[in-house]
Amino acid sequence: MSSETRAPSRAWAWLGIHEVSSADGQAVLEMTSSEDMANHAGFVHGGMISALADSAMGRSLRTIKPGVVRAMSFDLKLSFISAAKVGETLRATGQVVHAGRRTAIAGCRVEGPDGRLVATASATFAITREKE
Amino acid sequence: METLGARISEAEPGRVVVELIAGPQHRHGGGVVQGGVVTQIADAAMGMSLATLQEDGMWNTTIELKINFIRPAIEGRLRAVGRVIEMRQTLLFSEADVFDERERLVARASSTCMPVPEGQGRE
Repeated sequence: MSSETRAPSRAWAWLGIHEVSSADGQAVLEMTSSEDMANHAGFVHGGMISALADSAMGRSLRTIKPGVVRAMSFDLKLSFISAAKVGETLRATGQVVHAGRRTAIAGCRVEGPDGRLVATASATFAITREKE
Repeated sequence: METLGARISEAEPGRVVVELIAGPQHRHGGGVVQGGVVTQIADAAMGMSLATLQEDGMWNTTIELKINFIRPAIEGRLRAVGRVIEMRQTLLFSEADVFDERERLVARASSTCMPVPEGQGRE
């Protein structure tokens, strides 16, 4: 169970991302979209959703053993499945798919308030693990 | 599919499993099953899982595909399990996991497909 109270990154604070829970290879993050996150069509910009998904996957890696002390994504892919409206709270569930010594793979689902699937994501991370 | 020796081993609405018995003909100089072979069975499983939920007379074509190779496969039965994520009017989303004989995850793929009338672009 990771309940460390580390200060969120500046980007998290700026985007209003916060962690709901994280344990056992999974992390749940939420972000309430604002007017400033709108794209030209008035929906939530894909880049904002990407940042949320990337963060959720990164956090999910912090729950595994031996611990991950550093995780940097070097590959990130999203499928944008339905548009998110400005004002909606988006919930991203990051899940570790595989973790080796130096690389890890995670997946993510981003859902709207009604559980509607907004996006799916997958990423590859360069990681550094604690010595066991 | 025939060229590789792959076959459909399970099919139900929204889920299709494609199997391949990997042998020397599938390996590259590095001694492991070539990534394109793994990608082929994942792509086939994903496309067919979508087809199980499409209306009659419709098929699909892959317009984007991403794959992570998680561990090397050398020989034995490879199973690509394709599943539908979401189906929209013009875009279809699916994922596949590829497992080796010991049920270890070999690869994870995701793709976006486009519905097309059956027969289009195929001989």
